[in-house]
This record gives sequence, C-alpha cells and structure tokens, in this order.
Amino acid sequence: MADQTTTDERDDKARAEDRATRIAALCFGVSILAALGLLVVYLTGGDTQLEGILLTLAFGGVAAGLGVWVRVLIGPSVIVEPRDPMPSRAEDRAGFEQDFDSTVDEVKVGGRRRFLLQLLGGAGASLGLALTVPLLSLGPIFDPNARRELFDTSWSAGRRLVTIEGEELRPEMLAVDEIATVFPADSDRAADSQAVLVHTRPGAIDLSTLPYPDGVVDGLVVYSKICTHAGCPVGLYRAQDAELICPCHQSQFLVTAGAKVLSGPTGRPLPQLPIGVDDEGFLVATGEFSAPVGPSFWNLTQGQDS
Amino acid sequence: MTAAPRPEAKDSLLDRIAGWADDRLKLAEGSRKYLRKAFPGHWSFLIGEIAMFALIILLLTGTFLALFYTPDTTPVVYSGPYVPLQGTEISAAYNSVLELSFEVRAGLLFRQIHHWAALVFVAAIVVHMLRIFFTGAFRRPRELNWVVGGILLLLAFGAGFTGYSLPDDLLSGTGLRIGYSALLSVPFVGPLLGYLGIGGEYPGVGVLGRLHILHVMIIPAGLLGLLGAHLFMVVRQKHTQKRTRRAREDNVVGEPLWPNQALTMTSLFFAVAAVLAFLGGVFEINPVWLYGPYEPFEVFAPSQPDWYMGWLEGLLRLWPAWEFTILGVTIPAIFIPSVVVPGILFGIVFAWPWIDARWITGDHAEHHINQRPRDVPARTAFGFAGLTFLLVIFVAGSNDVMAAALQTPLDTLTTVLRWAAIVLPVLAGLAAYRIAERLNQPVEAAPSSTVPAAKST
Amino acid sequence: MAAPVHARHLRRLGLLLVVLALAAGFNLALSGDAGAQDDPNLDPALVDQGRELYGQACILCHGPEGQGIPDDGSGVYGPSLLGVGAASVDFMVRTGRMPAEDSSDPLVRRPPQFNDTERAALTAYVQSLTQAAIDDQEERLAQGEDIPEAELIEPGPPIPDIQGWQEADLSRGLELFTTNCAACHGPTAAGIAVGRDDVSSNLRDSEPIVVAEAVRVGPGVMPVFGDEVVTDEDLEAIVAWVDDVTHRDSAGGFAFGRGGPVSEGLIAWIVGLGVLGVVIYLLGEREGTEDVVETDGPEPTTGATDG
Repeated sequence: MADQTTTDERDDKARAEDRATRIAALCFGVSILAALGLLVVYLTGGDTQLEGILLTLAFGGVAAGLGVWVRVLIGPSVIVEPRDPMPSRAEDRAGFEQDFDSTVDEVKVGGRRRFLLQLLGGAGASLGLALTVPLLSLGPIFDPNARRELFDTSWSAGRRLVTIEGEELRPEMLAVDEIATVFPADSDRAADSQAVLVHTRPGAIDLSTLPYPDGVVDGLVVYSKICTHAGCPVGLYRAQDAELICPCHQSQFLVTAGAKVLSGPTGRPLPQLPIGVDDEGFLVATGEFSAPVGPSFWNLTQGQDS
Repeated sequence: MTAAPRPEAKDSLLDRIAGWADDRLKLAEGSRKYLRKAFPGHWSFLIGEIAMFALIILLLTGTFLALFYTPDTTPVVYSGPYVPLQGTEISAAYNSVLELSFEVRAGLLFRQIHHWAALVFVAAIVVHMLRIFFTGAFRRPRELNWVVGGILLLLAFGAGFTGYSLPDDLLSGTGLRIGYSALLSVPFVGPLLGYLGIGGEYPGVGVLGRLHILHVMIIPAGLLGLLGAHLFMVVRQKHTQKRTRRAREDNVVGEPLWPNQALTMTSLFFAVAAVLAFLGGVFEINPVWLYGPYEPFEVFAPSQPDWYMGWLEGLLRLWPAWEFTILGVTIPAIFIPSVVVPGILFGIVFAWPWIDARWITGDHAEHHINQRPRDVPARTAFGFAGLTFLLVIFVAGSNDVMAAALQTPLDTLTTVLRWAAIVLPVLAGLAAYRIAERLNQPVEAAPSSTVPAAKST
Repeated sequence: MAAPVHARHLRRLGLLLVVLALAAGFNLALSGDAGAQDDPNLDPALVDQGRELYGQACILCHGPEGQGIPDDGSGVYGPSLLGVGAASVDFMVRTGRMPAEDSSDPLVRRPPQFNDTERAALTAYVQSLTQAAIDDQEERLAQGEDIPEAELIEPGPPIPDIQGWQEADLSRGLELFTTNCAACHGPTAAGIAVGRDDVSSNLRDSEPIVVAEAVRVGPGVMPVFGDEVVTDEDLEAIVAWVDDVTHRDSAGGFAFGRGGPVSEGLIAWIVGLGVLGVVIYLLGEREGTEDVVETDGPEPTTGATDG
C-alpha cells in the first residue's frame, strides 16, 4: 500500500500529524495550567466550583492529549493473537490426575483413612458452628429483656404525653385538625415510643373501629408514629380527610377508623395508644399500644397476651 | 548462571530501573507476551473499564474522606460555620461530615466527587452487564466470571448503601431504618438478625461503626479481591470478540496492549477522573446540611435512595399489602418485596448462564465470538422483559416525585405502575422477540445464521 | 390563649361580655373582642370598606352573613367564613386563592386581587361577621339554648405575630420544620405529592407571613398547628428556617431544583455516563471491528470448540 501513496497523500498525512501533535500539545498545556491554577485557587482560600472545573481541565487535558496521541498519532494497529480452547490439554489433565492419585496412598494410615476423614469432617463442621460465636456477640441476644423489646415501648398507664420539646399537653391545647408528635414524659424521646396525637373533627371518629374506644379524649386520638410497613415515621397528615400517610412508601391510614389501612403497601393498621386526662388536666396514656409498634415481624401476634 | 549484561551508560533511567528489577525478579520472561496481548476493538468493551476507573477514584477520594469521618453517634454541639445548625446537638458523625464539607479545604469537592463516582460506578457496572448479557458473552467458558460480576454488583450496592448511611443525616437514617425493617421481616430469624445487625433495638448501638468498617474495609476488600479474580479470568480466557471478517473462535483480533491499549486506558482513566471532577465540582449532591441530623421521629418526602436502590424502593412502594399469619407465624408485607423478590431476581441473574444454555440455546459449547441480540431472540426477549420490569419498578421508586411532576393522583399512578410492572415486561419481551426475528429474516438464506452453526451438545 | 378557646371558657367569657356590654351600653362589636386584640377590625371605616368589597367579591358564595352557601347543584356555593379567623382570610386573599372565579376552582396560589388596605378591610369585615355570630351565639347560650360542640363558633386564629422572625433560632426552626412540616413539604420546602391529587406548596416564593398563617390555618388538606403547641416563637423559628433553606446558596454547585437522589441519579446517567459514553466511542472504535453481516469475508467464522 505504502508504495502507492502519492506525494500529496504523504503531505496530507504529515500535515494531519502536525495538527494532531499541536492539539495534543495544547491539551497537555491546558492540563498544566489548570493543575497549577488549581493549586493557586486552593492556596488562596479555595472554591469548590472553581477547583472542580480546574481539576476537570487538568484531568481532561491529559485524557484528550493521550486520546489524540493514541488514536491519531499512533493510529490503528491490529494484531491477531491465537487462542487455545479453555480446557487443559488431555495429557496435562491426565498427568495431573496421575501425579495426584499416586501420592494419595501416602496419606492413608493403615486403612483407617475413612474413619480419620470422618472425624476430620466432624471437627470441621463443629468448628464451623463455633464460628457463630463472634457473630452472636454482635447483639444483646442473651439479654432476657431482648425478647420483649419488640413488644414493649416506654408507654405505660399514667405516663403523660409530651411534645418533642418535653412540654406536657392538655386536651384544649390542640385545635381541631391539629397534629403533634408526642413521647412519654421523661423517656428521652424513645424511638419506639413516638406517637402522633391528632385532634379529629367533632364527631368524626367511628369509635367502634378503634382498638380502644375509651382511649379517646374529645376527638383526640393517638397512634404509633412508626409505619407498620418499613418503619418510617408516619408524618404526613391530610387533615381534610383525616388520613395519615407514610412519606416513604405511601401507606395511608384512616385516623377516624382505627388507623385502618386505606391503600399502600402495609399490612396492618397503626397501633392505637389509649389516652385519658389525669387529675391535673394533662393528657396521659391509659395503657400501652394496642399492638406491637413498627414494621411487622414473624411472632408479632404471639406476644400480645404476655 | 550468566548475569544479564551490565547496563550501559547510554541506557535510559527507565531501562536501568527495569533492568534492575528484572535482574532480581525475572520479569521480562513472563511479561513479554502481554505487550502484544490483543484487545478487541469495539467501544462497548470499554464500559467495564469505566467502572474500574470509577472504583479507583472511589478508593482515592474515599481514603481522603476516611481521614476526616468519625463513625460515632456521641452527641456534640455544632459550632462550625454553617449557621442554621450552630448550637444544635448533633452526632459526632454528622458533625465530622459538616466539618469535612465546610471547613476542610476541598473537602466538599472530594466528598461530592466520591458520591458522584459511586453513582457512575454502579451505572457503568449495569451497562457493562447488559452488554455481556445481550451479546451472550457470559457463555461457556465465562459463566464463572459472570457470577463474579454479579457479586461485584451486589458489593457495589452494599458499598453504596453503607456509604450513604454514614453521614447520619435525616435521609441516611431513613434508608437505614428501611434496611433494618427488611431484616426484621425474615420469618423466625428476623428479630435475631435485626439484633445482630444493629446491636440491639432500633436505632441500635454503634451501627455507624459497623457500617463504617463494612464501607471502608470489608466491602472494598471484597470488591478489590473479586475485581482481581474478574480480570484474571479475562486475561486467562482472553476477551470475547465481535463477529468480524477476521475474528474466529480460535483467535483474538485487536489492538496490542502496548502501546495502543495502554494509552487508550490511561486516556480513559483521566477522562473518567475529569468527568467525576466536573460533577463533583459543579453539581451539588446529597447536601446533608440541609436535611438536618437524623432523629428517629423525623422524616421528609420525597425520601429516595441513590438511584441503584431505586428498583428496590419501587418494589416496596408497589407491592400490595399482603400480610398474613399462618399458625401464629406472620409473614410481614415487606418480606416478599424486600427479601424474596430481590433474592429471586439475583438468583436468576446468577443462574443465567446455565438457564441460557439449558433452556434457551441448548448450546453448551465454548464460545469466544459474541452474538448480536437478534441472534438469540428468546434471550433478548427475556432480557428486555426483565429490563422493562426493573425500569418500571425503578420509576415507581420515585412515584411521589412523578405524581407531583405529572400532576396525577399518587394512588392512580401507583395503580398504573402496578399494572405496568406486569404488562409492560410481557409486551417488551414479545416486541423484542418479534423485532429480533424480523431482523433475522433477510439473512435467513445466508450461511451466517450463527446460532445453529455454533450449536453442539 | 388566642385561637382555639375551649367551649367552657368561651361560655364563661361570653357571659361576662354580654353583661359588660349591656352595662356599658356600648356597641358589642366595638367593645368586645374575645380572641384577637390585635385585629384591626375595630376601625368602623375599615369594616365599611370591607363590607363593600365583600359585597362585590365574596357574598355570592359565602352569603350575606358569611354563613356560607350550601352546594345545592346550582354551581354557586361556598363554606362558612364564621370562625375561620383573621389569619385564614388574610392568607386566602393574600395568596390570591380567594376570591375564586368559580365555586369549583381549586384552592391554588394566584396573583392577589386586592392590595394591602383592601385585604385588611376584608379581613376586618369577615371578623366582624364572626364577632356578630359569636355575640348571637352567646345570647342563645345565655338563654339556655344547647348548641352542639361542632356548631360552636370561635374567633379563629388571628394573624400571627412573627415580627421577630429574622432574629429567630434557625436550628430550632430546622428541628420543628423536619418534625412537623418536612413530611409534606420536603426537606427544602419545595413541595411534593401528598396523596390524592394534592401537591404541597413550594414555599420558596411564600412570604414569611403566608407561611406562618398557613401553619395556623391549615388550608386545604394541611393540618393546623395552634399557638399552644407551636408557639409564636416556634413559628418565627420555622419561618426563619423556611426562608433560609429556600434561599440558601447551594454550596455544592447546581442543585437542579433540589430533587434529591432522583435528580442526582439523572445527572449521574446523563452527564456522567453520557459523556463517558461519547469518550469511549471516540477512544474505542478501531479497525478490524467492521461488522460482517453478509458473508463476503474470506473466512466464515465457525469453529466453536467443543468441550
């Protein structure tokens, strides 16, 4: 092919090469300037955006320069490499097997190899079991209280309801359509005890649908704030429809009907916390949640009576 | 044994260093042939390299971040320059991320590059995987490498999840909460797993410390180890190649490692670095200072995970509220979409080379020349169906954002997406099948109809 | 003790007012203001101006006494305004949600149709209607009539006083906002779908007083936050945070509407992998890769090796 190349073509090629060289040089130049500029910007106080752009130019210059170099200056070159099929050659495989098998006899001890092997296997399996030791230490699973923790919260009869700022609440403090996140008093905002206090519109609650029909004060009703689906706080309240919605996966609960599930992916209602008013006029819990709070788990229904 | 000739004065420094090393390690003998190792040319062969280079950037930037991050939930009072949080009690972890973002010079830049690199890393893995899938490059002898690739993807998910959970901001805590709930939902052992996973009742004890070790040590070690195995197998088995005039099953046609491929890869590495630097410098990502510290009773909408978890998030949003109790054992509604379905999906992915050989092509022979998607309509159809399913549930992961953007009732959108997740994959699969068959028709007469030729028992 | 006064208190207070008013021989509307001393509704001129505007813009749907017009299929209807509170009237008119063209118009932000004085006048007039209704109610109660709790009219929330919001504690605002508001309005108050076909408002362009009034009023599907639980001081902090987060420069660069991971994912694919896709296309196309579709090549490629 080369001998057919005319002088013109050769000149063209040389010119193209010159041009590519200049472009590559320019790229590297940009890179140098940008990297130095980056240092200057950094040393004089820094700026995330400017630094990012200079870093882009510094890296990009090298990338472009090398790209031109390899694609234009070096140009394409195709080689053909032979490829053998994957398996070893038959004689290699046979040889390996032979060499291996011939030494197996040395491992045997007077015909008791099978017995020894079984014991070794037993030791391996036992060790495997023993390896759960470090794993089991990862959680307090031997703590006798641990088994109860998914069932228990910090609420108990007589515990006052407080806001996130620890303020105690009286029924008249909440306007109709008002919603507040509440915790048991002095619980340090225990995560599993978070609840929503909702002031529903007069007469809106269908008491017969509530786990605790008596646990309602003047249209005020309290449910666990932890979604029974994946555990997000159910913070979105559509006052007009008395619907609580979980912002994570959009389970919808009807507050006036025992927080029954209207739509969305969760399988059970929000547990209700029964409330009343104590002697001093403050809202208190009169019991515990109607069911274990938060996302469901396998023995959910087995701990309620204990 | 005769020593190698002493380096002469005219030898360059590089020559002398190489000579010194070879004198002691006998490197030239094994390395020589690799200088002329052939790299088949098609741009799609470089997608996997994008992932690899993104991983390198992740390791570099991550090392920097690790020097400033504190995996500690001990409360401290924030006193940095970010005014809205001054005087607030926040965790030491969140504090360290704020410090990194606002006080460490170039800290925010590297934090953002790191996060963008993670997003691009997984994206590149996914596209790379699609290329392998649709061209049949996973076929014998590369089944094992396909599986290793699948594990790498899982590890990438794990790296991402543990990573965005570290800052202890409100969004990260929400993701963690959902992850814990999925763990809790496993029948019989869920509560135990939950306890072991987070060290006690939610929100757990020392979770950040565990996530941190996973994120900076265990998962990267796994990624690097398996990447090594991945590349070893590629070198051992050599690249697949596209069907061309010169490509045969017993050769590799391509550019030599030195200088072409080496320079191309270096150029690509710098290009990846440049793009990530651009993203990190110019586009804001995960502004944790706006989200505030994590409190278990706070949440905001929309709460989305990073994109590569979007399919799982969408599955959780779409899956119907099927929760039932049999003989006192409750199967939580979240169990199937968060544990069983992902398990099945990845089971199919891992088993695909064998499924493909057994039921789709009936072809168990060794192959090094890739197919075109049209060559195996059934596989392509299945791939498109799966991809469409993933895409629908991925979209469902942001149904609240979509509902607001499209001004559609959220419930309506969810219902539509539920049906779409069932119907669209079937339609996409059928369409792909028909198109593949149609494309095959003109070449029916020609002897290049490839699959039967390659078939063997 | 401003907005939601419990019925028991109200009764006692009302009785007192009636006695006082009778004794002093004053016009009740001028002397007795149960809930909101700060309301400007004592200026008769303002109330008169408000009456005129009300007659033009509101009376059709809300009725001459503000008692509302039931939806009887005629297409002209509207809720009662008695007891909605000054905050509600001011909010609706200030944000152009009211007056609506049509009874079925959605309650959305529109350019306001009244200026500040006109709005004050309307607010004063509607409050005077409420006051008249409350006075009437007190009389009936005094006569021993039993009014169901649901029908009791209260003065409603006054326009909250948040003059000090610019000095308010931002960190407190952040916590209150994320606890009470972010679930619907999003972390940066940008608005999001909140069930059915409702979308919460983007608060970027909302004046601080509008945000504060909405908290007290709970327009549309939004819940109410009264001043007993969320005090005016809390409200100032929330307003301050909303103003801060919606106007804060993004330290990290372009924030593309603060769409969170959704928009971040899009950027990663389009800018990240998109640009790199072009790069590998430029770098990766090589000789020897030409497609063999037809069999003009010298070496048809078969030769799969059997294993």
